[in-house]
Amino acid sequence: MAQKIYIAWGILICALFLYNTARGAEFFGSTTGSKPTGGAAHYHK
Amino acid sequence: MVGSGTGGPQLPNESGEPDKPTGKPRVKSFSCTACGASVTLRYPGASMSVVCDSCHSVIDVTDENYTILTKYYAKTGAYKPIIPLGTRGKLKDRTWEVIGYIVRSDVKSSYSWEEFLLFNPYYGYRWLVQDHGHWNFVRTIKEKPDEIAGTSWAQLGEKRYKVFNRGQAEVTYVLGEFYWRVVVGSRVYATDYICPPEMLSYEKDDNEVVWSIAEYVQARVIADAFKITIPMQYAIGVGPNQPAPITQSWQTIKLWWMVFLAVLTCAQIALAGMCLNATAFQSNYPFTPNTKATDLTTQVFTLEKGSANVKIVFEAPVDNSWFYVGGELVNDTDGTSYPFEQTVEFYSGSDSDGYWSEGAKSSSLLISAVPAGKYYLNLDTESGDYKDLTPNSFTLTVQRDVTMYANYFLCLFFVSVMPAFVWMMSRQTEVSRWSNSDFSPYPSIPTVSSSSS
Repeated sequence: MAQKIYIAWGILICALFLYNTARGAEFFGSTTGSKPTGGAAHYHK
Repeated sequence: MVGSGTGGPQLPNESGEPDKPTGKPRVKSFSCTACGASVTLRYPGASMSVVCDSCHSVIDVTDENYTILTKYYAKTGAYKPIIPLGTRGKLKDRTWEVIGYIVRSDVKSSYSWEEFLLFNPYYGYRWLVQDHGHWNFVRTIKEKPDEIAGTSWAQLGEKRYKVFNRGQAEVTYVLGEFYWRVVVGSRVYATDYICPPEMLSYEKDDNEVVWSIAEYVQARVIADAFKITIPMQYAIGVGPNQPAPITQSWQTIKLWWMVFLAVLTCAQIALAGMCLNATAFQSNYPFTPNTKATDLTTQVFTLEKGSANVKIVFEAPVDNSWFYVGGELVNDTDGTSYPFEQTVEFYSGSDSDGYWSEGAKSSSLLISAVPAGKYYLNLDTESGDYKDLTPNSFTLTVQRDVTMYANYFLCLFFVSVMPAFVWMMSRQTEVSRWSNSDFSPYPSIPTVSSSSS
């Protein structure tokens, strides 16, 4: 049972690694931008 | 288990199949030559010696005069077999009757164990060995295992067994009947090799060499087989050949752990090779020390590739001072912004320990998964602790799709936590198993008394 849990866990980790690293995302990095709320765009004239 | 039956009844071969049936058992009774009590022989013709239940004299039943082999006057209260003689039980799909009981001990220590002789007229003899609550089902084998020269290993077929114990065993107590002339005080040289759940045993006396193979059996299986109602002895420690599920788990998990390490490492190398590591934008901007500045906006620059990270590097002339940037990366097309904060600081000096420093004159941050497109940066800056207030400048560099290592090391950690835990548990079990062996591969930790002597 422990082996099956570990295999599933390992496959999940490898999949997450490939998915995140391929799109340039760190596991605990900022991954999503936020839409301007009215303050950001006015800097750029 | 010396007493393979040489000169006695025909023993089964290694496959456990009988060479020839020994026929239906016929019970025979006679008077003990020593004390006159009635002695019952359950398997005349198969047994060569029997122990008188009354006086414990060992009687040679192959002699018509029932010669006394040894006189043993100890009362039966000294040892009481947990499986009474004559009990029948089904083990390994066959019915066995307990006909003999031996207590043996190590000559150099007080370590002792029990052996129950089992008999089935069609399948011959087997042994049940009980050692501190650990049970083994034992059969003798005719094939001689290979003892690998210069090593502590023996090989039987495809399996290799590691030496566990070596010593001299002495019979200290007997009950029942046996297929050889058992004598209290008789000694054999014995060596045990293990490959859980099996144990290979070598025994040698003046007359013969016997190899046997033991298979670990759970105590509850023995209790169920022989309908033992009294509590079985609690198993102490880890038996020499007791199967350890955690050790088996470690063997499997170790292989998968190596697979995952290989997958992660190969993927990291491949993905690193595909990174652009390109500079998308670089420029210098002025700032006045120890003041705040707002509304700094960079030129629009292009970030290539579908989705990749962005690394922003700030270099500022800090020397026992700090430079702070708060800003955001803004998509020029849809206005999506990625806010960030970063500080550049460097301090140094000298004290009684000599030169010291902390920080650096540049620092960087990474923004994850930024889609391709045109972007610019909005920056607010602030600085402090500057002694020279002359206007200065800092350098801003935007890099696209740089190689990341954090994910790799984090995933290595994630896939290694469970193997590390299982390995520690497995090692603890194996250290416990080998603690009763003179051949332990695990170095023992010296105690205070032993280290001081």
